[in-house]
Amino acid sequence: MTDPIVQRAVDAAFREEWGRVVAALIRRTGDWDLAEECAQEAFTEALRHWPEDGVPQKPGAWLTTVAGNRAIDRLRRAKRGSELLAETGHDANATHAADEDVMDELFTETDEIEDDRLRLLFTCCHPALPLEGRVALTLRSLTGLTTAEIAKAFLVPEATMAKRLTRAKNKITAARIPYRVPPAHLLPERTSGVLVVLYLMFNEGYGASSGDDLIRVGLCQEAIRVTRALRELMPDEPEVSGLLALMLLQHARRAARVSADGELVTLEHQDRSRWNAAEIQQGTELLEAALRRGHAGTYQLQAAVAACHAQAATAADTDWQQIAALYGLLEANSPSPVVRLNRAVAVAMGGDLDGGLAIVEELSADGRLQNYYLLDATRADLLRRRGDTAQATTAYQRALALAPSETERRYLMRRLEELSGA
Amino acid sequence: MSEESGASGFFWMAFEKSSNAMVLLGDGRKIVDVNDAALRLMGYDRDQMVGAGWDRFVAPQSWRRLESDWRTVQREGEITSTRELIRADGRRVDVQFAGRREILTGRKLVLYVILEQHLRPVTCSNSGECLAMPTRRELEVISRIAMGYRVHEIAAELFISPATVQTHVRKAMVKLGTRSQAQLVARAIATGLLDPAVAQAPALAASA
Repeated sequence: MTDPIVQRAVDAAFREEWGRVVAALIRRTGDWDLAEECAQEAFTEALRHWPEDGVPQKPGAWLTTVAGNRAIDRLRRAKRGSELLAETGHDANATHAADEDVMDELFTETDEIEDDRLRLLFTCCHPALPLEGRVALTLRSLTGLTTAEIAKAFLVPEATMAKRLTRAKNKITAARIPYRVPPAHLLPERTSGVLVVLYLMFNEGYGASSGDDLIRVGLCQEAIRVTRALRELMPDEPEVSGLLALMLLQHARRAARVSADGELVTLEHQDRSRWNAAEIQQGTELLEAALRRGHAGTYQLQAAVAACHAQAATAADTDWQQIAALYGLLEANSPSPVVRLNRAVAVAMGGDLDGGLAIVEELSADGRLQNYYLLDATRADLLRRRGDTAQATTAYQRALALAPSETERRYLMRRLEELSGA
Repeated sequence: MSEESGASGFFWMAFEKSSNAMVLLGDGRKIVDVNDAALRLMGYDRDQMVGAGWDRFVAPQSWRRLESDWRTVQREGEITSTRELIRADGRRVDVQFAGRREILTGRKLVLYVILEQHLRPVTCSNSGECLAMPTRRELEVISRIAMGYRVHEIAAELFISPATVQTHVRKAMVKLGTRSQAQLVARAIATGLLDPAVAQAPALAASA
């Protein structure tokens, strides 16, 4: 029977230290599977030893040492195996020398733990890996979610996720992807690649809304945690802070996004008292500090939009005109039809309903968002606000046919019913 | 600006520090605000630009588009266009920009965001000191020299006296830091001030 206090200490250490332990072991051994297995064993050891010896002062250092020793044991055993092979004709000396180097490396305690996690993150998010592999590998290596948990979060069978992870690891070896923080001239580009992965991870969880999707919602927390760690490691990058601010400001609304009976609640109708004030404050402060540094990038601008919503006491108080201007900056920065659609909503809500609708109609004609249900849903909503019931109904029906999930379909059905009742 | 920061704080922060040069225009294209990047691009101080008319900073070649683009952005809500701007030091900058109608702190404004900028080639003396651009008239004279015109022919074509032609040439030589007319033409072409095609213009028939 495990002492609950020790169990909590191990749980906490697992959340805080898993990534560090794995990162350090990969650097020293270059073997991703070995690193994960030994980290796992170290946590098992902790459960066995900490109740008797007490929780060590530096749990992370303890775990890294134990995991390191495990790795040495395994490599020794493997070496003995290879020596037996060598006696049958292989070059024993070469193998031996190489392994001694590894041993030396393992015994030399270097204090590069923080850099290790950064190395790990950049390697997991290397552009040579497929995007889904990057997300999965980041979760497995840095947060310690099990393959089964990640599979559940992405709604795929465990075997599929296991294959995805193995392929990604093999690719790292085969393509000789260096285990390092990229050199300065590649850093800005590669950092934005990491941010893409982290935001994707967050959105994967944010898209999940029902209570059954707890693990998926957990993805948001994991994404925030890794982004927070990244920010500690790269405090001078305004876009890292911008992304963290964006995540916090969106995550702060989670309790209000779903009603008691599990229905989606739009921003306009959310109970704002259920928003997490502490997260909003933290997000806003991060954003302001980032904006003051200059060069407002896309994450900062998106966070600024989220902050505008967060600052409005009621939906009617929303500063839509400022939001429209922010989407305008975003569009100048990185034009996309989705950004344009969002700007159209802000223009319409800011008082220029016809102007907003004109942009939406232009986007409908453009065809790039052809099967994007939110385009039709937005068009329907603006038409409804203008009192154009017949056209709004047709647009809602189109949106309904394209909506990807049951929750969204139910939301659109409710709107349709309201229209016919009106 | 301080009373505006409170209401639309995030927009103003993003505006001020953006790496894109931005200009906010009010009625009659009067400059309501410019950001740091725009001040760097134009080489002016804030006081010199805020409150001034935007047209002052636009090269005469772009004046016709100025008016029609302004009407378009008022009507359509947005526009993408190009301009030739004049910096404080007289150098020209070609810009591509996106203009949008915005309502900020209750005021109807137009925001110009510079998307691309291309500074016309620098002209520097041998000592490395960068000099002012030749005027348009000076460039007209240089291009005719490149085409093989003589001084009196240039004077006749531009309706000026031969002495004025000589003055234009002398001033242009000082600006480009050159010692001879041949060097003047060569440098004007090398720095992109003059289209190399002028040198291929058919030679003037020997004057009768």
